[in-house]
Amino acid sequence: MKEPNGITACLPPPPNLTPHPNGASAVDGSGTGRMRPVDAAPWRSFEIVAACRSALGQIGGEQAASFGVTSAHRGEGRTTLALASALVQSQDYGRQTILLELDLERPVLAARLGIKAQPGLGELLRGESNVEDCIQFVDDRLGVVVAGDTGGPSLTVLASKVIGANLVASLQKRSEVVVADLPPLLGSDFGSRLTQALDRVALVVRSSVTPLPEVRRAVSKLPETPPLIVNDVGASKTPAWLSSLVGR
Amino acid sequence: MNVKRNYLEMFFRHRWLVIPLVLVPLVAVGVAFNQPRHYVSTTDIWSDASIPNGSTIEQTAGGPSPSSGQQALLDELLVTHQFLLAVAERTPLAHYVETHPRQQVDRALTTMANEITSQTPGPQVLSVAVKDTSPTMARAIAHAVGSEFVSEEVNKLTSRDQAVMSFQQKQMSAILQALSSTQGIGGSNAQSAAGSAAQVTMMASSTALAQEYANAQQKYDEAQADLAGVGNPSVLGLIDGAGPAQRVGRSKSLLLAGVGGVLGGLALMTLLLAFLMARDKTVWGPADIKPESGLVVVAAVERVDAAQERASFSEVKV
Repeated sequence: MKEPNGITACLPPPPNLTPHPNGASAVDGSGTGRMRPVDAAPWRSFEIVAACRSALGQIGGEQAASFGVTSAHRGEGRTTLALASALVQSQDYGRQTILLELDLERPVLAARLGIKAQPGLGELLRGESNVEDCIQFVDDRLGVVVAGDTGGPSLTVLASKVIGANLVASLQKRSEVVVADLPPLLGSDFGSRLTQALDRVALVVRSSVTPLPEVRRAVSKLPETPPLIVNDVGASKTPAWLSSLVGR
Repeated sequence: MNVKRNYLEMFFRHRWLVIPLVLVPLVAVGVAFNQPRHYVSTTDIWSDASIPNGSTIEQTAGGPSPSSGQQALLDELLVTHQFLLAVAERTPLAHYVETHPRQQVDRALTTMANEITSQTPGPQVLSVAVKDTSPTMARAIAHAVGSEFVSEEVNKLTSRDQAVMSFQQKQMSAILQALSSTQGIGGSNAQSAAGSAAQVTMMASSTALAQEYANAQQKYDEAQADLAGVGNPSVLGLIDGAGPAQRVGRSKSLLLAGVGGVLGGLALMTLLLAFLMARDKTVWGPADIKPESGLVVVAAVERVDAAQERASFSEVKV
Protein backbone atom coordinates (compact mmCIF):
# COMPACT_ATOMS: atom_id res chain seq x y z
CA MET A 1 0.00 0.00 0.00
CA LYS A 2 1.28 3.38 -0.88
CA GLU A 3 1.65 5.73 2.03
CA PRO A 4 3.03 9.25 2.28
CA ASN A 5 6.08 9.95 4.37
CA GLY A 6 6.97 12.94 6.51
CA ILE A 7 9.49 14.78 4.40
CA THR A 8 7.85 14.26 1.05
CA ALA A 9 4.44 15.14 2.34
CA CYS A 10 5.56 18.74 2.74
CA LEU A 11 6.57 19.01 -0.90
CA PRO A 12 3.72 19.42 -3.36
CA PRO A 13 1.84 16.15 -2.77
CA PRO A 14 1.68 13.66 -5.62
CA PRO A 15 -1.96 13.32 -6.58
CA ASN A 16 -2.01 9.53 -6.31
CA LEU A 17 -1.04 9.57 -2.62
CA THR A 18 -3.51 10.28 0.13
CA PRO A 19 -2.66 13.32 2.28
CA HIS A 20 -0.76 12.69 5.45
CA PRO A 21 -3.40 12.45 8.21
CA ASN A 22 -1.54 14.03 11.12
CA GLY A 23 2.04 12.94 10.84
CA ALA A 24 1.78 10.37 13.61
CA SER A 25 1.94 7.52 11.15
CA ALA A 26 5.36 8.63 10.03
CA VAL A 27 6.78 8.37 13.54
CA ASP A 28 8.04 4.97 14.50
CA GLY A 29 6.89 3.40 17.73
CA SER A 30 10.25 3.57 19.47
CA GLY A 31 9.33 6.62 21.55
CA THR A 32 12.45 8.46 20.41
CA GLY A 33 10.55 10.76 18.17
CA ARG A 34 12.62 9.50 15.24
CA MET A 35 10.71 8.86 12.10
CA ARG A 36 10.82 5.88 9.82
CA PRO A 37 13.50 6.04 7.18
CA VAL A 38 12.00 7.19 3.92
CA ASP A 39 12.78 6.12 0.42
CA ALA A 40 13.40 9.47 -1.14
CA ALA A 41 14.78 8.06 -4.38
CA PRO A 42 11.65 8.77 -6.45
CA TRP A 43 11.81 12.38 -5.36
CA ARG A 44 15.18 12.73 -7.05
CA SER A 45 13.37 13.17 -10.32
CA PHE A 46 11.06 15.76 -8.86
CA GLU A 47 11.54 19.20 -10.42
CA ILE A 48 12.03 21.10 -7.18
CA VAL A 49 14.62 18.69 -5.85
CA ALA A 50 16.40 18.69 -9.19
CA ALA A 51 16.50 22.50 -9.19
CA CYS A 52 17.89 22.56 -5.66
CA ARG A 53 20.47 19.95 -6.60
CA SER A 54 21.54 22.16 -9.48
CA ALA A 55 21.55 25.30 -7.35
CA LEU A 56 23.55 23.68 -4.53
CA GLY A 57 25.97 22.28 -7.06
CA GLN A 58 26.61 25.72 -8.50
CA ILE A 59 27.14 27.48 -5.21
CA GLY A 60 29.23 24.81 -3.57
CA GLY A 61 26.47 23.57 -1.34
CA GLU A 62 28.18 20.22 -0.97
CA GLN A 63 30.86 21.79 1.19
CA ALA A 64 28.72 24.41 2.95
CA ALA A 65 28.31 24.00 6.68
CA SER A 66 25.14 26.10 6.75
CA PHE A 67 22.80 27.15 4.03
CA GLY A 68 19.71 29.35 4.19
CA VAL A 69 16.81 29.93 1.85
CA THR A 70 15.04 33.28 1.92
CA SER A 71 12.89 35.44 -0.34
CA ALA A 72 11.70 39.01 -0.71
CA HIS A 73 8.13 38.25 0.39
CA ARG A 74 6.06 35.41 1.69
CA GLY A 75 4.50 32.87 -0.63
CA GLU A 76 7.46 32.54 -2.99
CA GLY A 77 8.23 28.89 -2.21
CA ARG A 78 10.90 29.49 0.41
CA THR A 79 9.96 26.66 2.79
CA THR A 80 9.45 24.17 -0.04
CA LEU A 81 12.88 24.94 -1.47
CA ALA A 82 14.49 24.75 2.00
CA LEU A 83 12.97 21.30 2.44
CA ALA A 84 14.10 20.19 -1.00
CA SER A 85 17.62 21.50 -0.24
CA ALA A 86 17.67 19.55 3.02
CA LEU A 87 16.59 16.46 1.10
CA VAL A 88 19.40 16.92 -1.43
CA GLN A 89 21.95 17.37 1.36
CA SER A 90 20.84 14.27 3.22
CA GLN A 91 19.90 11.95 0.34
CA ASP A 92 22.16 12.99 -2.53
CA TYR A 93 25.23 14.09 -0.63
CA GLY A 94 24.66 11.67 2.23
CA ARG A 95 25.36 14.38 4.80
CA GLN A 96 23.95 14.51 8.28
CA THR A 97 21.50 17.39 7.88
CA ILE A 98 19.45 19.54 10.23
CA LEU A 99 16.58 21.58 8.82
CA LEU A 100 16.12 24.64 11.01
CA GLU A 101 12.92 26.66 10.91
CA LEU A 102 13.86 30.31 11.43
CA ASP A 103 10.62 31.82 10.17
CA LEU A 104 9.44 32.47 13.70
CA GLU A 105 6.64 34.74 12.63
CA ARG A 106 4.65 32.09 10.77
CA PRO A 107 5.98 28.61 11.49
CA VAL A 108 4.56 25.96 9.17
CA LEU A 109 7.12 23.17 9.13
CA ALA A 110 5.58 21.07 11.90
CA ALA A 111 2.20 21.11 10.25
CA ARG A 112 3.59 20.42 6.80
CA LEU A 113 5.80 17.57 7.95
CA GLY A 114 3.25 16.21 10.34
CA ILE A 115 5.66 16.28 13.27
CA LYS A 116 5.42 17.76 16.78
CA ALA A 117 5.16 21.53 16.92
CA GLN A 118 7.09 21.66 20.21
CA PRO A 119 9.68 21.68 21.57
CA GLY A 120 11.47 23.83 19.08
CA LEU A 121 13.55 26.94 18.70
CA GLY A 122 11.37 29.04 21.03
CA GLU A 123 11.75 26.57 23.90
CA LEU A 124 15.47 26.21 23.17
CA LEU A 125 16.11 29.96 23.31
CA ARG A 126 14.13 30.31 26.52
CA GLY A 127 16.20 27.47 28.03
CA GLU A 128 13.16 25.23 28.48
CA SER A 129 14.63 22.46 26.30
CA ASN A 130 18.02 21.30 25.19
CA VAL A 131 19.18 20.95 21.61
CA GLU A 132 18.81 17.18 21.47
CA ASP A 133 15.18 17.36 22.57
CA CYS A 134 14.40 19.83 19.84
CA ILE A 135 15.75 17.81 16.93
CA GLN A 136 13.10 15.56 15.40
CA PHE A 137 14.66 13.07 12.99
CA VAL A 138 12.61 12.18 9.96
CA ASP A 139 15.23 9.70 8.81
CA ASP A 140 18.72 8.63 9.76
CA ARG A 141 20.40 11.62 8.17
CA LEU A 142 17.77 14.34 8.41
CA GLY A 143 16.65 16.10 11.58
CA VAL A 144 14.25 18.99 11.88
CA VAL A 145 14.17 21.82 14.43
CA VAL A 146 10.80 23.51 14.24
CA ALA A 147 10.08 27.07 15.44
CA GLY A 148 8.22 25.83 18.51
CA ASP A 149 6.37 28.27 20.74
CA THR A 150 7.67 31.72 19.78
CA GLY A 151 5.40 33.63 22.15
CA GLY A 152 6.93 35.88 24.77
CA PRO A 153 9.93 37.94 23.67
CA SER A 154 9.69 39.92 20.48
CA LEU A 155 10.93 38.43 17.26
CA THR A 156 13.82 40.89 17.20
CA VAL A 157 14.92 39.68 20.62
CA LEU A 158 14.59 36.08 19.48
CA ALA A 159 16.63 36.87 16.36
CA SER A 160 19.35 38.40 18.55
CA LYS A 161 19.30 35.31 20.70
CA VAL A 162 19.64 33.02 17.67
CA ILE A 163 22.74 34.95 16.63
CA GLY A 164 24.02 35.54 20.16
CA ALA A 165 23.59 31.94 21.28
CA ASN A 166 25.53 30.67 18.27
CA LEU A 167 22.62 28.36 17.67
CA VAL A 168 23.66 27.45 14.15
CA ALA A 169 27.17 26.61 15.31
CA SER A 170 25.70 24.50 18.07
CA LEU A 171 23.59 22.55 15.57
CA GLN A 172 26.57 22.19 13.23
CA LYS A 173 28.33 20.25 15.98
CA ARG A 174 25.54 17.69 15.74
CA SER A 175 25.41 17.53 11.94
CA GLU A 176 27.38 18.18 8.78
CA VAL A 177 25.13 20.86 7.44
CA VAL A 178 22.35 23.10 8.72
CA VAL A 179 19.70 24.15 6.21
CA ALA A 180 17.64 27.12 7.42
CA ASP A 181 14.19 28.15 6.32
CA LEU A 182 14.64 31.91 6.76
CA PRO A 183 11.92 34.54 7.06
CA PRO A 184 11.36 36.91 4.11
CA LEU A 185 13.74 39.87 3.85
CA LEU A 186 11.29 42.68 3.22
CA GLY A 187 8.88 43.98 5.81
CA SER A 188 11.25 43.65 8.77
CA ASP A 189 14.94 43.56 9.59
CA PHE A 190 14.43 40.22 11.23
CA GLY A 191 15.19 38.18 8.10
CA SER A 192 18.36 39.97 7.09
CA ARG A 193 19.76 39.76 10.65
CA LEU A 194 19.28 35.99 10.74
CA THR A 195 21.24 35.49 7.51
CA GLN A 196 24.34 36.63 9.41
CA ALA A 197 24.40 33.27 11.15
CA LEU A 198 24.69 31.31 7.88
CA ASP A 199 27.51 30.56 5.44
CA ARG A 200 25.46 30.74 2.26
CA VAL A 201 22.05 32.11 1.44
CA ALA A 202 19.93 31.66 -1.68
CA LEU A 203 17.07 33.96 -2.60
CA VAL A 204 13.87 32.50 -4.04
CA VAL A 205 12.08 34.60 -6.64
CA ARG A 206 8.63 33.52 -7.68
CA SER A 207 8.09 33.81 -11.38
CA SER A 208 5.38 36.28 -12.52
CA VAL A 209 4.83 37.42 -8.94
CA THR A 210 7.94 39.10 -7.54
CA PRO A 211 8.79 42.46 -9.11
CA LEU A 212 12.45 42.90 -10.01
CA PRO A 213 12.80 46.12 -7.95
CA GLU A 214 11.64 44.14 -4.89
CA VAL A 215 14.26 41.51 -5.63
CA ARG A 216 16.89 44.27 -5.76
CA ARG A 217 15.61 45.73 -2.48
CA ALA A 218 15.81 42.35 -0.83
CA VAL A 219 19.31 41.76 -2.17
CA SER A 220 20.42 45.15 -0.87
CA LYS A 221 19.55 44.00 2.67
CA LEU A 222 22.18 41.28 2.49
CA PRO A 223 25.93 41.79 2.84
CA GLU A 224 26.58 39.73 -0.30
CA THR A 225 24.55 39.27 -3.45
CA PRO A 226 22.88 35.87 -3.06
CA PRO A 227 22.33 33.42 -5.90
CA LEU A 228 18.73 33.37 -7.13
CA ILE A 229 16.41 30.43 -7.59
CA VAL A 230 13.49 31.33 -9.84
CA ASN A 231 10.52 29.31 -8.71
CA ASP A 232 7.30 28.34 -10.44
CA VAL A 233 8.50 29.22 -13.94
CA GLY A 234 5.69 28.81 -16.42
CA ALA A 235 2.98 28.96 -13.77
CA SER A 236 -0.07 30.44 -15.38
CA LYS A 237 -3.49 31.66 -14.39
CA THR A 238 -4.61 31.63 -17.99
CA PRO A 239 -6.98 28.72 -18.71
CA ALA A 240 -5.09 25.89 -20.40
CA TRP A 241 -7.32 25.85 -23.49
CA LEU A 242 -6.67 29.57 -24.01
CA SER A 243 -2.94 29.15 -23.54
CA SER A 244 -2.84 26.40 -26.11
CA LEU A 245 -4.89 28.55 -28.46
CA VAL A 246 -2.35 31.38 -28.47
CA GLY A 247 0.64 29.05 -28.27
CA ARG A 248 2.85 28.39 -25.29
CA MET B 1 8.40 35.48 -25.48
CA ASN B 2 4.78 35.13 -26.51
CA VAL B 3 3.34 38.63 -26.23
CA LYS B 4 -0.29 37.53 -26.69
CA ARG B 5 0.12 34.99 -23.94
CA ASN B 6 1.72 37.54 -21.62
CA TYR B 7 -1.18 39.93 -22.14
CA LEU B 8 -3.60 37.10 -21.41
CA GLU B 9 -1.64 36.13 -18.33
CA MET B 10 -1.65 39.72 -17.11
CA PHE B 11 -5.41 39.84 -17.65
CA PHE B 12 -6.02 36.66 -15.70
CA ARG B 13 -3.76 37.89 -12.91
CA HIS B 14 -5.79 41.09 -12.67
CA ARG B 15 -9.31 39.88 -13.13
CA TRP B 16 -10.67 43.20 -11.90
CA LEU B 17 -9.86 44.39 -15.43
CA VAL B 18 -13.22 42.96 -16.42
CA ILE B 19 -14.96 45.64 -14.32
CA PRO B 20 -14.88 48.36 -17.05
CA LEU B 21 -16.34 45.85 -19.46
CA VAL B 22 -19.34 45.44 -17.17
CA LEU B 23 -19.54 48.90 -15.64
CA VAL B 24 -19.21 51.09 -18.75
CA PRO B 25 -22.10 49.45 -20.66
CA LEU B 26 -24.24 49.62 -17.53
CA VAL B 27 -23.50 53.33 -17.11
CA ALA B 28 -24.09 53.97 -20.82
CA VAL B 29 -27.44 52.16 -20.73
CA GLY B 30 -28.35 53.97 -17.51
CA VAL B 31 -27.55 57.35 -19.02
CA ALA B 32 -29.50 56.49 -22.18
CA PHE B 33 -32.42 55.35 -20.05
CA ASN B 34 -32.44 58.62 -18.13
CA GLN B 35 -32.39 60.79 -21.24
CA PRO B 36 -35.62 62.73 -21.81
CA ARG B 37 -38.11 60.88 -23.98
CA HIS B 38 -38.42 62.00 -27.58
CA TYR B 39 -41.58 62.45 -29.58
CA VAL B 40 -41.96 62.51 -33.33
CA SER B 41 -44.63 64.18 -35.39
CA THR B 42 -45.01 63.87 -39.16
CA THR B 43 -46.70 65.85 -41.87
CA ASP B 44 -47.21 64.81 -45.49
CA ILE B 45 -47.00 67.10 -48.50
CA TRP B 46 -48.60 66.25 -51.83
CA SER B 47 -46.77 67.31 -54.98
CA ASP B 48 -47.52 66.79 -58.64
CA ALA B 49 -46.54 68.27 -61.99
CA SER B 50 -47.56 71.88 -62.48
CA ILE B 51 -50.67 72.80 -64.48
CA PRO B 52 -51.15 72.63 -67.46
CA ASN B 53 -48.73 69.64 -67.54
CA GLY B 54 -50.32 66.24 -67.14
CA SER B 55 -50.42 64.62 -63.72
CA THR B 56 -47.70 62.15 -62.77
CA ILE B 57 -50.17 59.93 -60.94
CA GLU B 58 -50.73 57.66 -63.89
CA GLN B 59 -47.13 57.61 -64.99
CA THR B 60 -45.20 54.40 -64.66
CA ALA B 61 -42.23 54.23 -62.29
CA GLY B 62 -38.87 55.61 -63.38
CA GLY B 63 -37.50 59.06 -63.88
CA PRO B 64 -37.44 61.87 -61.36
CA SER B 65 -40.56 61.98 -59.21
CA PRO B 66 -42.16 65.24 -58.02
CA SER B 67 -41.69 64.25 -54.38
CA SER B 68 -37.91 63.74 -54.71
CA GLY B 69 -37.65 67.18 -56.29
CA GLN B 70 -39.60 68.66 -53.40
CA GLN B 71 -37.40 66.78 -50.91
CA ALA B 72 -34.27 68.25 -52.45
CA LEU B 73 -35.84 71.69 -52.27
CA LEU B 74 -36.82 71.22 -48.62
CA ASP B 75 -33.28 70.11 -47.77
CA GLU B 76 -31.97 73.25 -49.44
CA LEU B 77 -34.39 75.47 -47.56
CA LEU B 78 -33.60 73.85 -44.23
CA VAL B 79 -30.09 75.24 -44.35
CA THR B 80 -31.31 78.81 -44.87
CA HIS B 81 -31.73 81.13 -41.95
CA GLN B 82 -34.74 82.85 -43.48
CA PHE B 83 -36.76 79.66 -43.91
CA LEU B 84 -35.90 78.34 -40.45
CA LEU B 85 -36.79 81.69 -38.92
CA ALA B 86 -40.13 81.68 -40.75
CA VAL B 87 -40.79 78.15 -39.45
CA ALA B 88 -39.85 79.15 -35.90
CA GLU B 89 -42.17 82.14 -36.05
CA ARG B 90 -45.08 79.78 -36.69
CA THR B 91 -44.28 77.78 -33.51
CA PRO B 92 -44.06 78.46 -29.75
CA LEU B 93 -40.41 79.30 -30.50
CA ALA B 94 -41.61 82.66 -31.85
CA HIS B 95 -41.35 84.26 -28.44
CA TYR B 96 -37.85 82.93 -27.97
CA VAL B 97 -36.84 84.25 -31.38
CA GLU B 98 -38.10 87.71 -30.49
CA THR B 99 -36.54 87.93 -27.04
CA HIS B 100 -33.12 86.37 -27.53
CA PRO B 101 -29.95 87.59 -29.26
CA ARG B 102 -29.22 86.47 -32.80
CA GLN B 103 -26.46 84.05 -31.77
CA GLN B 104 -28.72 82.10 -29.41
CA VAL B 105 -31.54 82.13 -31.93
CA ASP B 106 -29.23 80.73 -34.59
CA ARG B 107 -28.20 77.94 -32.25
CA ALA B 108 -31.82 77.13 -31.49
CA LEU B 109 -32.67 77.15 -35.20
CA THR B 110 -29.77 74.81 -35.99
CA THR B 111 -30.88 72.45 -33.23
CA MET B 112 -34.40 72.54 -34.63
CA ALA B 113 -33.17 71.90 -38.19
CA ASN B 114 -31.13 68.90 -37.01
CA GLU B 115 -34.31 67.25 -35.75
CA ILE B 116 -36.17 67.65 -39.07
CA THR B 117 -35.93 64.74 -41.48
CA SER B 118 -37.73 64.01 -44.71
CA GLN B 119 -38.42 60.98 -46.83
CA THR B 120 -40.43 60.11 -49.91
CA PRO B 121 -42.73 57.19 -49.31
CA GLY B 122 -43.85 57.49 -52.95
CA PRO B 123 -43.44 59.60 -56.12
CA GLN B 124 -45.96 62.23 -55.05
CA VAL B 125 -45.77 62.28 -51.26
CA LEU B 126 -43.06 63.97 -49.22
CA SER B 127 -43.13 63.07 -45.55
CA VAL B 128 -41.54 65.44 -43.03
CA ALA B 129 -40.78 64.16 -39.51
CA VAL B 130 -39.82 66.31 -36.54
CA LYS B 131 -38.37 64.97 -33.30
CA ASP B 132 -38.45 66.87 -30.01
CA THR B 133 -38.55 66.25 -26.29
CA SER B 134 -41.93 67.98 -26.18
CA PRO B 135 -44.81 66.40 -28.10
CA THR B 136 -46.47 69.81 -28.50
CA MET B 137 -43.35 71.36 -29.93
CA ALA B 138 -42.75 68.42 -32.27
CA ARG B 139 -46.24 68.72 -33.64
CA ALA B 140 -46.05 72.52 -33.96
CA ILE B 141 -42.72 72.41 -35.78
CA ALA B 142 -43.89 69.64 -38.13
CA HIS B 143 -46.98 71.64 -39.00
CA ALA B 144 -44.96 74.83 -39.41
CA VAL B 145 -42.42 73.17 -41.69
CA GLY B 146 -45.16 71.80 -43.96
CA SER B 147 -47.10 75.05 -44.09
CA GLU B 148 -44.05 77.23 -44.54
CA PHE B 149 -42.66 74.98 -47.25
CA VAL B 150 -45.90 75.11 -49.25
CA SER B 151 -46.28 78.82 -48.66
CA GLU B 152 -42.67 79.54 -49.61
CA GLU B 153 -42.95 77.58 -52.82
CA VAL B 154 -46.30 79.14 -53.77
CA ASN B 155 -44.90 82.63 -53.18
CA LYS B 156 -41.79 81.93 -55.18
CA LEU B 157 -43.72 80.44 -58.11
CA THR B 158 -46.35 83.22 -58.07
CA SER B 159 -43.79 85.99 -58.18
CA ARG B 160 -41.85 84.15 -60.88
CA ASP B 161 -44.94 83.63 -63.07
CA GLN B 162 -45.98 87.23 -62.57
CA ALA B 163 -42.52 88.37 -63.58
CA VAL B 164 -42.64 86.16 -66.70
CA MET B 165 -46.10 87.54 -67.63
CA SER B 166 -44.96 91.11 -67.15
CA PHE B 167 -41.86 90.51 -69.28
CA GLN B 168 -43.77 88.79 -72.09
CA GLN B 169 -46.37 91.55 -72.05
CA LYS B 170 -43.66 94.15 -72.62
CA GLN B 171 -42.20 92.00 -75.36
CA MET B 172 -45.57 91.76 -77.12
CA SER B 173 -46.12 95.53 -76.90
CA ALA B 174 -42.72 96.13 -78.42
CA ILE B 175 -43.38 93.64 -81.21
CA LEU B 176 -46.76 95.22 -81.96
CA GLN B 177 -45.11 98.63 -82.18
CA ALA B 178 -42.46 97.32 -84.52
CA LEU B 179 -45.08 95.57 -86.63
CA SER B 180 -47.23 98.67 -87.02
CA SER B 181 -44.22 100.79 -88.03
CA THR B 182 -43.21 98.10 -90.54
CA GLN B 183 -46.72 98.10 -91.97
CA GLY B 184 -46.65 101.99 -92.14
CA ILE B 185 -43.50 101.86 -94.19
CA GLY B 186 -45.19 99.26 -96.37
CA GLY B 187 -48.15 101.59 -97.07
CA SER B 188 -45.91 104.48 -98.22
CA ASN B 189 -44.17 102.14 -100.64
CA ALA B 190 -47.46 100.84 -102.02
CA GLN B 191 -46.81 102.39 -105.37
CA SER B 192 -43.71 100.26 -105.71
CA ALA B 193 -44.01 97.55 -108.20
CA ALA B 194 -45.37 94.32 -106.79
CA GLY B 195 -42.58 91.83 -106.30
CA SER B 196 -39.90 94.51 -105.97
CA ALA B 197 -36.99 93.87 -103.55
CA ALA B 198 -38.28 96.40 -100.95
CA GLN B 199 -41.66 94.78 -100.83
CA VAL B 200 -40.18 91.32 -100.35
CA THR B 201 -38.06 92.56 -97.43
CA MET B 202 -41.03 94.21 -95.77
CA MET B 203 -43.12 91.07 -96.05
CA ALA B 204 -40.36 88.98 -94.49
CA SER B 205 -39.98 91.38 -91.53
CA SER B 206 -43.71 91.36 -90.92
CA THR B 207 -43.78 87.57 -90.90
CA ALA B 208 -40.85 87.36 -88.42
CA LEU B 209 -42.43 89.89 -86.08
CA ALA B 210 -45.74 88.05 -86.21
CA GLN B 211 -43.90 84.83 -85.32
CA GLU B 212 -42.12 86.55 -82.37
CA TYR B 213 -45.40 87.92 -81.17
CA ALA B 214 -46.97 84.48 -81.31
CA ASN B 215 -44.08 83.06 -79.27
CA ALA B 216 -44.32 85.78 -76.64
CA GLN B 217 -48.06 85.28 -76.50
CA GLN B 218 -47.55 81.55 -75.94
CA LYS B 219 -45.09 82.14 -73.09
CA TYR B 220 -47.43 84.66 -71.57
CA ASP B 221 -50.28 82.19 -71.73
CA GLU B 222 -48.14 79.46 -70.19
CA ALA B 223 -47.11 81.69 -67.30
CA GLN B 224 -50.73 82.68 -66.82
CA ALA B 225 -51.81 79.06 -66.76
CA ASP B 226 -48.99 78.25 -64.37
CA LEU B 227 -50.04 81.09 -62.11
CA ALA B 228 -53.57 79.82 -62.11
CA GLY B 229 -52.30 76.42 -61.01
CA VAL B 230 -50.01 77.74 -58.26
CA GLY B 231 -51.62 77.18 -54.92
CA ASN B 232 -53.85 74.49 -56.33
CA PRO B 233 -53.79 71.66 -53.74
CA SER B 234 -53.66 69.08 -56.52
CA VAL B 235 -50.22 70.48 -57.44
CA LEU B 236 -48.74 71.26 -54.02
CA GLY B 237 -50.35 71.18 -50.61
CA LEU B 238 -50.51 69.52 -47.23
CA ILE B 239 -52.43 66.30 -47.34
CA ASP B 240 -51.80 65.26 -43.75
CA GLY B 241 -51.34 68.02 -41.26
CA ALA B 242 -49.07 67.22 -38.34
CA GLY B 243 -50.81 64.65 -36.17
CA PRO B 244 -50.31 64.07 -32.46
CA ALA B 245 -46.67 63.30 -31.75
CA GLN B 246 -45.78 59.66 -31.12
CA ARG B 247 -43.33 58.63 -28.42
CA VAL B 248 -40.05 57.35 -29.88
CA GLY B 249 -39.16 53.84 -28.69
CA ARG B 250 -36.10 53.49 -26.49
CA SER B 251 -34.97 50.04 -27.49
CA LYS B 252 -32.79 51.27 -30.33
CA SER B 253 -31.05 53.94 -28.24
CA LEU B 254 -30.60 51.50 -25.34
CA LEU B 255 -29.14 48.92 -27.70
CA LEU B 256 -26.78 51.47 -29.21
CA ALA B 257 -25.77 52.65 -25.73
CA GLY B 258 -25.13 49.04 -24.71
CA VAL B 259 -23.03 48.28 -27.76
CA GLY B 260 -21.17 51.57 -27.40
CA GLY B 261 -20.63 50.85 -23.73
CA VAL B 262 -19.20 47.41 -24.45
CA LEU B 263 -16.82 48.89 -27.02
CA GLY B 264 -15.89 51.69 -24.61
CA GLY B 265 -15.38 49.23 -21.78
CA LEU B 266 -13.26 47.06 -24.02
CA ALA B 267 -11.15 50.06 -25.00
CA LEU B 268 -10.73 51.08 -21.37
CA MET B 269 -9.85 47.54 -20.36
CA THR B 270 -7.26 47.33 -23.15
CA LEU B 271 -5.76 50.64 -22.09
CA LEU B 272 -5.53 49.51 -18.48
CA LEU B 273 -4.01 46.23 -19.57
CA ALA B 274 -1.46 48.03 -21.72
CA PHE B 275 -0.69 50.33 -18.78
CA LEU B 276 -0.20 47.35 -16.47
CA MET B 277 2.01 45.66 -19.03
CA ALA B 278 4.08 48.82 -19.43
CA ARG B 279 4.46 49.16 -15.67
CA ASP B 280 5.03 45.47 -15.07
CA LYS B 281 8.36 44.76 -13.46
CA THR B 282 7.74 41.21 -12.31
CA VAL B 283 10.21 38.49 -13.11
CA TRP B 284 8.47 36.22 -15.62
CA GLY B 285 11.41 33.89 -15.99
CA PRO B 286 15.17 33.60 -15.52
CA ALA B 287 15.69 35.50 -18.79
CA ASP B 288 14.29 38.64 -17.15
CA ILE B 289 17.24 38.76 -14.77
CA LYS B 290 20.08 40.14 -16.83
CA PRO B 291 23.64 39.19 -15.88
CA GLU B 292 24.65 42.87 -16.02
CA SER B 293 22.33 43.52 -13.08
CA GLY B 294 24.80 41.62 -10.91
CA LEU B 295 22.20 39.00 -10.02
CA VAL B 296 22.89 35.37 -10.88
CA VAL B 297 20.19 32.74 -11.35
CA VAL B 298 21.51 29.35 -10.26
CA ALA B 299 18.33 27.36 -10.81
CA ALA B 300 14.85 27.60 -12.18
CA VAL B 301 12.01 25.47 -10.92
CA GLU B 302 9.55 24.81 -13.69
CA ARG B 303 5.91 24.54 -12.91
CA VAL B 304 5.06 20.88 -12.70
CA ASP B 305 1.66 20.07 -14.10
CA ALA B 306 -0.55 17.45 -12.55
CA ALA B 307 -0.10 14.86 -15.31
CA GLN B 308 3.68 15.03 -15.01
CA GLU B 309 3.45 14.70 -11.24
CA ARG B 310 1.27 11.65 -11.56
CA ALA B 311 3.74 10.06 -13.96
CA SER B 312 6.71 10.87 -11.67
CA PHE B 313 5.16 9.37 -8.59
CA SER B 314 3.36 6.36 -9.95
CA GLU B 315 6.38 4.24 -9.07
CA VAL B 316 6.64 5.41 -5.46
CA LYS B 317 6.86 2.53 -3.04
CA VAL B 318 7.19 3.32 0.65
